[in-house]
Amino acid sequence: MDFQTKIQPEVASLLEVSKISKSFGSFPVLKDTTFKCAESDVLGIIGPNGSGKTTLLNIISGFIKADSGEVLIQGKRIDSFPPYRRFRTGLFRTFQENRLAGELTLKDHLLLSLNTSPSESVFSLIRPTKRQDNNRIESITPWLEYLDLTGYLKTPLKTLSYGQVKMSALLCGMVSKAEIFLLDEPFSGLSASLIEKTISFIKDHIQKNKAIIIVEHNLHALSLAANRILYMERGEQIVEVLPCEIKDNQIIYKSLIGRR
Amino acid sequence: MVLIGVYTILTISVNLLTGIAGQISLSQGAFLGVGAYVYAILSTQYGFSLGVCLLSSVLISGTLGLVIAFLAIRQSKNTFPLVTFGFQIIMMLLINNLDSITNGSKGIYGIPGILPRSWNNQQLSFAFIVWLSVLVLLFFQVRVKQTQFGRILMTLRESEVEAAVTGKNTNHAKISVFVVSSIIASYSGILYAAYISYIDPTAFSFNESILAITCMIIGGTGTNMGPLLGTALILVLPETLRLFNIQEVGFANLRQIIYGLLLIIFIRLKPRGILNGFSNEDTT
Repeated sequence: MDFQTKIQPEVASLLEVSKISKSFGSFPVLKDTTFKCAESDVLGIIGPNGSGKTTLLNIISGFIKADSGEVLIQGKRIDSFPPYRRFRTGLFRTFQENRLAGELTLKDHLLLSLNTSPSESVFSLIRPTKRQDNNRIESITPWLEYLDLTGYLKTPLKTLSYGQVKMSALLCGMVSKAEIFLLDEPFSGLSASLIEKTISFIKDHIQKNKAIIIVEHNLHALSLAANRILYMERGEQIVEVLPCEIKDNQIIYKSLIGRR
Repeated sequence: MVLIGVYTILTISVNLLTGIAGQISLSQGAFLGVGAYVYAILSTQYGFSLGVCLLSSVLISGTLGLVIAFLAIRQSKNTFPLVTFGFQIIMMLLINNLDSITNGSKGIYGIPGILPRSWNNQQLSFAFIVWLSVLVLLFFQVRVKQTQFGRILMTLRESEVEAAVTGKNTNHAKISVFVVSSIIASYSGILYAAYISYIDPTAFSFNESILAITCMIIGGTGTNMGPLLGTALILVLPETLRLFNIQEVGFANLRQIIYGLLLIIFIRLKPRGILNGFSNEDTT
């Protein structure tokens, strides 16, 4: 792709995905996927299983290499970056399945996510930063209370409930100062009240000045959380709608909800 | 007793690399050998002072560790150990065949201790130094887990994906911990050579690498005191067997069998070692 020099986004788009294509063997998973996410944008992505939603997130975060196309963060190409460098440039993502290390405590996870931590090299062994660490944790206690996670700081994550782990993952993103959030099925497996809490956490606290992409099957929850919704099928972008239009859109209705 | 201390240091080096950071290395025995041989050669043939010997074996093993780690991180988690295994084999061949430097399979005699000759109570002071080192390193282990670097190591063990998502350079962390672990292993090699005063290649074979891993697993992978407990058990066990009047000839073989059995039993019944289960699961 040789037009990268020409691209100078008019609106400050935090994340830009341009003509991403990917095949697994001869099976095409994504075909020329293209979209932009600006600040305070919440883009929901829906589609039947196998439509390439998670692959898209994996390509943006660098776990999978795209066959062609490019990913830009704040106008800067990141295609050659390994995952960790992408996440350093302001990306954050959660996973469908929990991927957080189970033996580590919630506090460990939060400290790992607080990218402001001083030394991450081996030389930090010489000068531990216990007190600073505790101060940092103190500064996020309101969030712990908000998500009902107070008192679990020193608990290994594997002993927390499914919902608590999902909340912890979101909180890690919140404290990481990331600007682009990729959330893979943040509502699946949660109770109605936790879904509500997740939505309000995203809308009220994460969304400001950030770009959020949510891949989800729960249409109701997604239509509450997202500004706009992209419908994908077999790797193609079929249609983009407003949340209120989901139920009126014939294509989406047919494939995701069923015949009338 | 002193040997238990020496091997505990070796086990700590494994525990740091495998127990905490989850990187399996089969070359700890080789690094033990690097430390021992560098010390032995420099002190017997060139008569360098202790400081020079210590410094150079730290530098040499650190550099070797750096190179091996650099090669090994290109591999997946499963093939990582193979690279280290290769290094172990290469080192053994080198030690065995570089007659002019290492004296081949005959080994090196008359290695001086690390204390000045004029010192009284050589034995006692040496034991003191060894156990002081053990204490310091055990304390170091505890502290590692409280640092950001230590947290990164633990995420390496459990979820490299998380390490990446939080923006951590996993390769950097793997190389760093490998180098630190090699240096600690070679330090135990120095103490070994200084204590026994005679070294030959058999003391640093692949068996030694496995022994260190066995000690770690039995003591408790990743625990603070596991290396000490595991090593003590493994080294004391054969001595207690002696009390049962087992014939000397079969003894060496029997020892290997017992180690093997112990390892199998532990992995089947208590894969996380003796100490895990008391310390980690008292939550909620």
